[in-house]
Amino acid sequence: MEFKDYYQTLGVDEKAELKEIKKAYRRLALKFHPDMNAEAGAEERFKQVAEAYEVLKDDAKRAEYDEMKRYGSSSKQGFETPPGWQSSGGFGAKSSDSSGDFSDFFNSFFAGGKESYRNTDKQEPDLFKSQDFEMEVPIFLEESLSGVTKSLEYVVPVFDGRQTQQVKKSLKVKIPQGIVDGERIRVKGQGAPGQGAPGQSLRSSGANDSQKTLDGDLFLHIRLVPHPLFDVQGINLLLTVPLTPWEAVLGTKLEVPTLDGKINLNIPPNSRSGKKLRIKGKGLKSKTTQGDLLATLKIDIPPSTTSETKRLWEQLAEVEQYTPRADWSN
Amino acid sequence: MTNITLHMDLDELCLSADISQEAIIEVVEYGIVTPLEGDTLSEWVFDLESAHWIKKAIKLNQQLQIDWVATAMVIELMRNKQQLEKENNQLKIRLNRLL
Repeated sequence: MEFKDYYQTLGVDEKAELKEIKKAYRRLALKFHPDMNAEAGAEERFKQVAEAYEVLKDDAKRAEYDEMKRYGSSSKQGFETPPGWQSSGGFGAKSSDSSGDFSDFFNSFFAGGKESYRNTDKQEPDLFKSQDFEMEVPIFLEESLSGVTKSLEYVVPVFDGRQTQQVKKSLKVKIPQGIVDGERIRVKGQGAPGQGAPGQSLRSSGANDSQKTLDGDLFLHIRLVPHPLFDVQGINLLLTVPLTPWEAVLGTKLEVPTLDGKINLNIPPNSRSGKKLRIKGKGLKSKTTQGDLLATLKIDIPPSTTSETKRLWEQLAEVEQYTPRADWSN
Repeated sequence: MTNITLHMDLDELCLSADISQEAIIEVVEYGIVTPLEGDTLSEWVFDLESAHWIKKAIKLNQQLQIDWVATAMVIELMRNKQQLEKENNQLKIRLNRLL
C-alpha cells in the first residue's frame, strides 16, 4: 500500500505543535467539506485531511506514525514498515469518523482500538458496525401508487484487514405503497458486510473473540422520476389541461388521464385560464390517506389560422366588448 | 425478500452511525430534530429523514469543530436550501407546462 504523508496533507511542519495542526485542519475542513464545497475532488480531499488529522491530533498515534515515517521504506510493492515493527493495535480513542472512508494505509495501522458501541457490560462482546451504504432509487409515480419490487445492484467497499475491495451485491427490495419523494428506507444488514463468514448478521471479527461485527445497513433514498404529464405537490398530483378558447367559453366534457386510467371531466362554461378543478382521490397515496388530482386549465390558441377562421375571429372581435385591460385606463 | 424499516430507535441509531446517546440528546435538545414518538429516552423513535439529519449534524459538529448552536443553524440553512431548490425545480417544470 502507499505511504501517506499526513504532514504534507495538512501543510504543516513535522515539528508542528498541536494547535498548528488543529488550525490547519479547521482551515482545510471548511474549505473542502463536501457540505461546503460541491467541486469535484473536494470530498476526496476532505477525507485525506480528516484522515491526517485523525492521526496527528492524537499523541500516541502521531508518535507511532512518526516512527513509521522515519524508519519505514517504500518500494515498488508499496510501503513497508520498519523491520520488527508492530502496531500497538489500539489507541483507545474513538474515531470521530467512519474508518471506511479512510485509506488502506490508515485502516491497516490506525483503525484499531475504536471504542465499542455503548457497551459497558464487559461480559457481553463489544459491538462494532460495518459501513452503512446509501443509494438513490428512482421510482415512477405509478409504482409509488401500488408499491413495487426493485432489483438493486450496488458495490460496497469491504476492508479485509489488508486492503479495501469492492464487493458487488444484489438484492430485491419491496418498496411499499405510498412512498414519497425524498423518503428513506432502511434495509437492515445489506450495507458493507462485517468481517468473517458471509451471510450472518452478527459475526465474530476473527481478530478478537470479544469483538463482534455487525453488517452495515443499506439506506435507500427514494426519488420520484419526473412524469411527462403529472407534477407532484405533497400527495396531490397536478395536471395541466390545455383547452381551446371555444372549449373554455362554451364548456365541454373531456377525457383526462390519471395514474390509474382515464376519467371524464366536465369543464364548466366561461372557465378562465389558470382555473383549478379538484378530482378527489386521484392523487398519490400516503400511508393513511389519498391525495387529489388538481387540474389547471390552460387556454391555448391554434398555431395558425385559415382565412375562414380569421374572418370568424374578426367577427367575434366586432361583437365582443370585453377588454381584459380595463384596469390600465386609470 | 429483505427486511426493511422506516424508523430507527435510539439504540439502532447509535449503533448504525457509531454515535453516542449524548450526541443525539444534544441534537434533540437544540431542536435540530424531534423524535417521532417516545416520552422517555429509551422510547425515542426517529423516522429515517430525522436519522439522516442527526448523523449529518453530528458529523458537521465533529468534522468542522463547531458548537451545537452553529450546528443547529447550519442544519436549518441546509434544510431550507434543499427545500427551496426542490420547490424551485418543481416551479420551473410547472411554468414550462403553463407557457
